[in-house]
Amino acid sequence: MKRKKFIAWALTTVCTALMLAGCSASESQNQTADKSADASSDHPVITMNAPYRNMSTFVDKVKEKYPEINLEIIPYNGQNTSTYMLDMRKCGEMPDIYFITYYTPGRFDDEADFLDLSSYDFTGEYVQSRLREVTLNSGIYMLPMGYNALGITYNKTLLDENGWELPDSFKELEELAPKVEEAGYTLCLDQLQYPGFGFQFLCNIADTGFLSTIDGQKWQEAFLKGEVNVSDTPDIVENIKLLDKWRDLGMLNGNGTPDNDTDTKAEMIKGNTLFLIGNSNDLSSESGAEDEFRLMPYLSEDGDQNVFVLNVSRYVGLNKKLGEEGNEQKLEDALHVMEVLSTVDGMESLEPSQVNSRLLPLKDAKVGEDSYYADVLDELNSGHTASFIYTGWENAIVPIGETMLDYIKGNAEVEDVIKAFDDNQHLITEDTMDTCTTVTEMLDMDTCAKLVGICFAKAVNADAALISTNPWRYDKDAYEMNREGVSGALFPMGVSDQEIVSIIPTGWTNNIQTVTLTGKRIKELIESGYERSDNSVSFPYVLVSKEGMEFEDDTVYTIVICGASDEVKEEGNIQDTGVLGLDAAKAYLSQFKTLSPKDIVWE
Amino acid sequence: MKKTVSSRRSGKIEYSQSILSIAVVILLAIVGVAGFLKFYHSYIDETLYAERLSQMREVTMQLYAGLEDVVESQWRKTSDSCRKLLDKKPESQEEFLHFMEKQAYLEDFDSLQMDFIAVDQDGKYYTKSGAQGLLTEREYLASSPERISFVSNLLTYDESRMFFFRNFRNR
Repeated sequence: MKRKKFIAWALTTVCTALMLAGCSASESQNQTADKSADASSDHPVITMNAPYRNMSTFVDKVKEKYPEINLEIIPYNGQNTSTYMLDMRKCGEMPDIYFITYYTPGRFDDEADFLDLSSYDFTGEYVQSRLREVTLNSGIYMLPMGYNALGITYNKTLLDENGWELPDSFKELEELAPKVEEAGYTLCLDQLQYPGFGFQFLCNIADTGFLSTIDGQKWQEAFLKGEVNVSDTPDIVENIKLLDKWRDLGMLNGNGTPDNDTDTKAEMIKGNTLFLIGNSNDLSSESGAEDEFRLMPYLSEDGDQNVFVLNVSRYVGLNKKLGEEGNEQKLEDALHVMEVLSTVDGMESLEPSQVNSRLLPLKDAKVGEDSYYADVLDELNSGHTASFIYTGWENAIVPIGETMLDYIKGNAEVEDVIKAFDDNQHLITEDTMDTCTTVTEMLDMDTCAKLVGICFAKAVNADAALISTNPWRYDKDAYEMNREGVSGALFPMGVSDQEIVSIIPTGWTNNIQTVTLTGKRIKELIESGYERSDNSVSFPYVLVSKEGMEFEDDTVYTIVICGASDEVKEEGNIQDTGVLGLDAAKAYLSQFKTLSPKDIVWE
Repeated sequence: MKKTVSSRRSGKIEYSQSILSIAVVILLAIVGVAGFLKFYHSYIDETLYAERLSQMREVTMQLYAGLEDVVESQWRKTSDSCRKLLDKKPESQEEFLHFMEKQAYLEDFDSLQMDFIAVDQDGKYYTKSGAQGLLTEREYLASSPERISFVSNLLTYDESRMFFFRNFRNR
């Protein structure tokens, strides 16, 4: 009887097992799904670069929804973001999630470098026309982030108080200018810190004429291919000569401290200047600003072709390596990050302080009444816009931009600007840059800090150098990471001025600075790091000195410093050496035919 | 005694055989049921797939047919307006804008949520309200196509518009 029962039980079990066999697969799938949502899982690290963005709020958003994701931020706050990001790509050093500042579909091999994002759900969150701009052969490899409309900032309070009308054309601006000067105000300040701005302002003004027309766009393509030049094209010569009118009127000038955008912005905020040509949008939100600042377009002669220049702030794509076997979890996590990024909240969290001055490419985005663009929406939607000109022109932007800065400051003529286009066209068509050395093995951020320290200290005969660096720090309250130190790396490739500027803290135009400190104080600073005034965290210093040098506590040393708090500036009596950082770095690097980490020694 | 043992043995054998038979029958039944279920599932899947495919094909064909009708109708309207414009030959921008305004009124464009626009050789566009800015998609006109249509979105709102252009440049 017992055997019967046993056999019956066994058969029942077998039957049940067989009957439920079909269900088992779906249960095991559920277990896998549960595992992916497991907060304690040890997911692989996915990397994401962050050019000039404090990603702390965004990281919180990702962690809130997907706590299991291990997201590593690679910050960049150096002086040449676009070149640095592009070099990263050219050398195959892209992170998993890759941001870049400028993008033209198909200019480089997008299909080889990035995953096609067109079929993912988050891509459907973007406005169709914004997607069309980044579509290549039916694929989408980079998605646009928030964008700016660039124009001329004006002080609305000053305008209203004096009963002046906002000019709607260049003619009206010519009528207003003498009234402003008569009233004792400055007509305009220009932000000229970077050579790129010179090139940009030139293009923005030219966009009010031939350059942004259909024929102008065709001309740009032909110029980039080397089929035409400027001096042989009467339409573009006429177009560039518009600059003389802007300079003669006083809209283009070198007043104030044009090489320091922050100082220029501070001067504008004081309220004695009517216009500002530059990239600092929404000055009303700046601390200390009492006046109301708004935006107007670059003005054409009779106002029929006034333009705002549209500039997408960042593009983002996924490294194609995520699609390789073994990277399934990384890909899944990266897609989740993209999903968070492709929401209004996610995109705004990249720049919490710029919410009002950004237009988002998302279907859910709304332009509120308090938006910086609220009173120019009709103009933006009725076609008074032109695209930001950059891609394709990279190699010639600096030489043309520098000539343009000279022109703005009154040190060159419009013929020189025209000549600068034609003389530097070969840099575009031959895709070449003048290089001073070639890096054969990547120099990471700390090694670059050491390199900068050696060449700066040697150039000014300092005893040593304290160079701050820019590793990722979580700091929600900070506006940005460390831009006074070395950010980024040097990749294995030729090193031109562009690459040098991408790592030196002095950028294109600043001089090397020194302080005098005791050995004891230097040691203390090494311990504490660089404490930026608007950050609650500190950034480490790299101390660079001659091999074997020891610091005596009571001895006073002259040291080069990159990243000094107000306290250190004061106690160390900070001095401008008058030596341009770029020149010093170029002279030092030119001694090496090739460069690798083992060459970075101060003997 | 021997007989008793032998009958017990034969009873056990019969019992084992019957159990085995039952097991075989049950197993066959299970295999049969499982096979049937598998066949049934794949049959259902195939049938559903075929049915859905056929429905989608039908819906898509209807949509395309409808869309083509709409597009053709829009092209007819565009061509019609163009013929009238060629016939009218306005000699100034003012006359041209007046023509556009009149055309919009006669064709009742407002209630059809349509607009009549023209683009010049620079890429600037004009509506009955006057000159506007540059057409955002002006690069489509760079190769001077005889006719072209495309979808456009407003810059700051998620609002789509469809454009139908005929080229007058070479006439």
